Amino acid sequence: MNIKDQYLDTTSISSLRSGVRPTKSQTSFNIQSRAQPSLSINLDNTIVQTIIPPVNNSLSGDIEDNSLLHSHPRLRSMQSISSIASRRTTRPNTSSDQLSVNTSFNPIIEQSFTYCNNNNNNIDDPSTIRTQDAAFGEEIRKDLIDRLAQSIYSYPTSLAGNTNEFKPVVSNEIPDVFINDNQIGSTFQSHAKNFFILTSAGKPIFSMFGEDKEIIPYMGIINTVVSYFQINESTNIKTIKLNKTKQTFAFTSKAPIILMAYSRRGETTNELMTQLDLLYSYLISSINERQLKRLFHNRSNFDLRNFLEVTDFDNLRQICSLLSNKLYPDFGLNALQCFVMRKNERARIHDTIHNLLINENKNIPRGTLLYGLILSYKRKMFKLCAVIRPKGHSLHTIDLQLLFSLITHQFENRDGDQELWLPICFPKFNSNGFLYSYIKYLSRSNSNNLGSSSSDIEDTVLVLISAQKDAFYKLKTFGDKLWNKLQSDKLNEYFIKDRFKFRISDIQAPLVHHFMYKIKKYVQYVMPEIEIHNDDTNKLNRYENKLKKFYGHLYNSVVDDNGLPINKTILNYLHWEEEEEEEVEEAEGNEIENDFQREKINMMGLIWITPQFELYLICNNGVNNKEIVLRSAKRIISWCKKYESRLFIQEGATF
Amino acid sequence: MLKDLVVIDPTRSHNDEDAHKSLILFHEFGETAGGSSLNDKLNRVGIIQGLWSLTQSFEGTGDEEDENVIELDNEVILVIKVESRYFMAISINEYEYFDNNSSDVNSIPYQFYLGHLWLCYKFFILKHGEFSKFKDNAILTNNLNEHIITFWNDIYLKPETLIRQGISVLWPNTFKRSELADLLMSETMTTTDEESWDTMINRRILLQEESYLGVKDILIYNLPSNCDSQAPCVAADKKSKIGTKYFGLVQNFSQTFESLPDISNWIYHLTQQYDVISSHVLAGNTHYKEVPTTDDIDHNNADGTTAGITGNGFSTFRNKLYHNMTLPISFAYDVVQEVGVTTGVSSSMSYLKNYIPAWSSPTINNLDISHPVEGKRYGYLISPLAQSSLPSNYKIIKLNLKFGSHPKFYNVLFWYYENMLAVIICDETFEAIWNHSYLNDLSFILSLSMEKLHQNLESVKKPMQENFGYLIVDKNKSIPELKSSVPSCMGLFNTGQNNSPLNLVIDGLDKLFSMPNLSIDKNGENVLGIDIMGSLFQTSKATENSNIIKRNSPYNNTFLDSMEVDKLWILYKELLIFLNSLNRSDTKPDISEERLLTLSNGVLCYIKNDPQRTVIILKNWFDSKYDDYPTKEVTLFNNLGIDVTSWWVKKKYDVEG
Repeated sequence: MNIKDQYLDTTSISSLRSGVRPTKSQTSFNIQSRAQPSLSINLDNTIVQTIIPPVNNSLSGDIEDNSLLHSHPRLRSMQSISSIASRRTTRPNTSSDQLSVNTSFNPIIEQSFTYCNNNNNNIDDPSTIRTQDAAFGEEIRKDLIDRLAQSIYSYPTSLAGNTNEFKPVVSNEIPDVFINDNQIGSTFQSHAKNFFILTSAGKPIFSMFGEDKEIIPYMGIINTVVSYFQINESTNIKTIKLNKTKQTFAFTSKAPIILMAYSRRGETTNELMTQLDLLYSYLISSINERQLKRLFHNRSNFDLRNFLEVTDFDNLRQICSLLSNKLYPDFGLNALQCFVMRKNERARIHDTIHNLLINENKNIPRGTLLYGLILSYKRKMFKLCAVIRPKGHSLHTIDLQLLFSLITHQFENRDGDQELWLPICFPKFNSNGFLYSYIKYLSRSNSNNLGSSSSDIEDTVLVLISAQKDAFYKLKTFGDKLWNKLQSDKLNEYFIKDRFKFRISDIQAPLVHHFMYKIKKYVQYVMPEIEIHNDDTNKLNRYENKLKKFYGHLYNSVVDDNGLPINKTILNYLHWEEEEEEEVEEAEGNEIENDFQREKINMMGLIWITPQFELYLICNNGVNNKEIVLRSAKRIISWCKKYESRLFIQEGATF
Repeated sequence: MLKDLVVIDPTRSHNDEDAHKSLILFHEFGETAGGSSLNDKLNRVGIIQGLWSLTQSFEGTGDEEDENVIELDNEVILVIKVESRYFMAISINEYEYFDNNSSDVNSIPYQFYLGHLWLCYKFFILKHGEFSKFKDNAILTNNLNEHIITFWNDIYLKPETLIRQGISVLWPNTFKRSELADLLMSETMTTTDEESWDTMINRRILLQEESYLGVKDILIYNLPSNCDSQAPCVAADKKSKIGTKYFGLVQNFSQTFESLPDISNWIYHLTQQYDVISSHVLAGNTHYKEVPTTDDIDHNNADGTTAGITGNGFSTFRNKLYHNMTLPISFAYDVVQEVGVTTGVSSSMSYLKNYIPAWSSPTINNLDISHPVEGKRYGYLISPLAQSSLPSNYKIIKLNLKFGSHPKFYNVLFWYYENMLAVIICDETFEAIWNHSYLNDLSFILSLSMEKLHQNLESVKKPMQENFGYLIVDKNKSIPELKSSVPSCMGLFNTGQNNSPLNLVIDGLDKLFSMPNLSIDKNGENVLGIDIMGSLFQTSKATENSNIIKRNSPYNNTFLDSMEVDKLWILYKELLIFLNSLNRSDTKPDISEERLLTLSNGVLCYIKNDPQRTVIILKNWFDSKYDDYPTKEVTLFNNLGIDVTSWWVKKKYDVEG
């Protein structure tokens, strides 16, 4: 059986999930029979992309859905052509259940298409595709527009260029619902978010934005404020909140260090406090708490900047950036992401590690190795492939996140094989001492054979942690043997390349754009790949930022200021809708602009928290039926449960 | 617990040496009162100003900020900036941050305090005008002393006031509107061509030649006593049992009255603070004072069962009143003396003393003679009909109100008919109000109008309540208003403060003065000219003893009315979390946001926020009676069921989809 078919429950739609790119004739047939779940059209430089949920009973196997869809006009909108966006580029959401039609060839789309289908190991020859695409001439373009026009909820008249009547749409792209606060002003105060770290004497250590001369007076004020309440009121200031302008100032005082976060992004006190704790933990990971106190013991005026290294500031900046602008759910969810592999594959790797550890007990006596990790690194995110840990013990996620942050920086300018021996304090493990990490780069691979962009590069890293300062050679020997063993048993193939990365379209959850599923027992989460065509960094950043805001908003809607959920079990829907605007007459001219309108914002999200799991879900634009959203959410949950052993590390190699 | 209260005007200080000049008012509550040195006070002034400057130095959204919330480990300091210059700050110590399990006074979320801080300022403006109008700083300080300290002191002694008005206090710029007028309009429109109750007021008073432009506006409030439904023997009529939905301003007649939210909130505040509106309460001569409760007898009496006009009930009241007269009489005297020598209550003590020997147990029949018209009680609470020996604030209350562009002082009279309160706003130059016959005529017309209103109310056939709770804040109106049927949390913090001797004294004083055989002479004239509104002998004290209050009246039929008070309090806190996150949300201005979630106690909660309004709908999730959807397209709003959607359509609000 095909690996993908085995992995995903796709038997019911196997006819469309054969993994073979459809030919023109097939595509044409599918359009007529309304059997295709997706349609992608490239009109010159404009890409129109739609998602159509399965409507054919024989395909979807969901009679209820179908009858519901047919009985309600609004729902019918989802089954028909439902999204038309002007000048919109496509995100490669093509899975085997989505067909693509390029009416005129565009290399970008071609690349995107190819990229999306590479999992199926059935990539058509580009030249063939080009030939086929070229056959779609102006006639077919018109034909498609006619079909769009005939569709109930497309823009029939607008396509003809007559009126601008607006109809409900469903899109696979998500619009901006939140205020874009990333425009950078001239001063550091204009940033929507900032972090300040200073000593109890008011000496600056770090700020995310701002030159020294700008921030020094502020550091003085922050220090005065914190000290005032400590001395005069015997208490600590936690936050200052400004309700109208939605600004929050959060303070943490951990003598001799003071930290302050500034945000006008509506984060809760708990979120900001957790972020400050992470920054403080980073400092402690670099200089442990005992050392820090010793440094300041008789020299309260000590300038810690002289003690820290450049890499420390780089890492702090990187952490701040991840906290502020990137979609890095590890921090928000306080969980880790796992590398997906089959249960038996992971078990074999763990067994190999375990057996090697027993066999090598002479070279690596008990107590030498505390923890071990095999990590996959892609797009500046780490995924756990395998874990070696003592029975009944595990490292705190913050400690691991700090470790990841450190490794990220160490490997950023890597030029070949590298081994590192780093003393790191894990603050949640023991804030007064160091552990020693042996870090070895194992391999590099390109996930996309055709592309060569940095985001396609996947690194694999081995981390072995010991409490012994002089255990480098022991760990290195063990690491080398382990790698050789994994290679000889061909187990390395399981994690060198991400064979099982999945997209939202791989799950039968109609109209869902993206989700995050956290399983509380394992403190791990899973989410579909975030991809954007052509690996455009700016677009990716914007997209990630958008998702981050949606998820942040979903989370904040059900927790109090202290980060506690209002209930043990929560099911909360959120819906954002654009206010009706008066119609504005569009200037005549560009035919395409007249044909395609900006879609109306109509977004829906869901957060589902139970004692077992947390699900955060964002739908495609145009969805407003909660029943459909709930049904999709249930499907995602059952999918995640079905493949739990693949998606999450349940035990690891314990000793 | 309230810790201290500070009012600052930084513009008064120009250097370090005259920093003390910026301090207008500093007051400490409780045991620490008076313990702070000038240096401590100046420190507080400095830190408030310093923090304000720090927060303002960051570029926000461009709006001028007018409130800061400073959270410490177990204390919260709330600062508001008014008139672009003055800072008012209160601090709450022993503050417990959100904890669903706690129903302690210290767990009242700071948002309720903040709402009251704004109300406190607005009430001051109502009484005295803006801070900046005071040229003499000493006068400002004196007025602040008189107004703001007593306001917060009453809250300090009775913190339950903070939550008795419900979550509507979170929108201090709006006011709650009763939906009684809407109900009557829809009921009577098709039935009769007779002059309606409001037309009667409009034609016979406001448009009358005699009072045209002299009487600027008449505000009609429906203020049923908080626990009427628990006093089954008293005033067991429909109108006194209607719930939160019908509480509030029924109607006013001027379209340009911009102070409507402030005056309405002031009246609601008095109602929540003192349970009932009386002449003393309106005149500002009734305040709580901390008195050690050493007499167990008082507790026993107060812990008794529901007071009513049954033999036992009346006996309970008589005993209570008797104790008021005998045991805490010295407290009463002290209070009256202390509240203000100039207020004139002390002069009315002579009446009190004179009538003590003439005390006799009144009977039900005695009570009935106090209802000159069909057994209904009505009359002036504040009017020039008050005895000449009473101070001027028993005759008229001068309020700084805004009709149109500029605020100015108006003479305001108060009149009641059972649970309805009429606020008559007159121009200062309108002399007719000093004419007793004019006032009697006015009273007569108002009584006819109210009688009509009550008759209409009796004839209402359709259910008066929906089976779900809602709160709608209409931000789009020129005068923002709020409609709500979410009941308030009554009796949550029943820690005994309601049963203090002083509380009884306040009750006793008011009721004593309004006793028919004391204040009504043989001709049926109210010789004192002071009164208490509502049906006599309705007391809420006994019903508040239980933490679990069931509101089983057929007219209070939302499921929230029968919810246990501690569960209702948890619901409040959860709503507050949602509202907080909505306020923090940085959605674009033209985006509306909807939320739908099921709470653990089986309440389905829907919230919508858009530039026009904020809507909260609470529905019983287990109520399967209305689980049909209006369409099969299950949007978040439609999911609430056909009863909600049809109600929304009737409300003429725009419906989604």
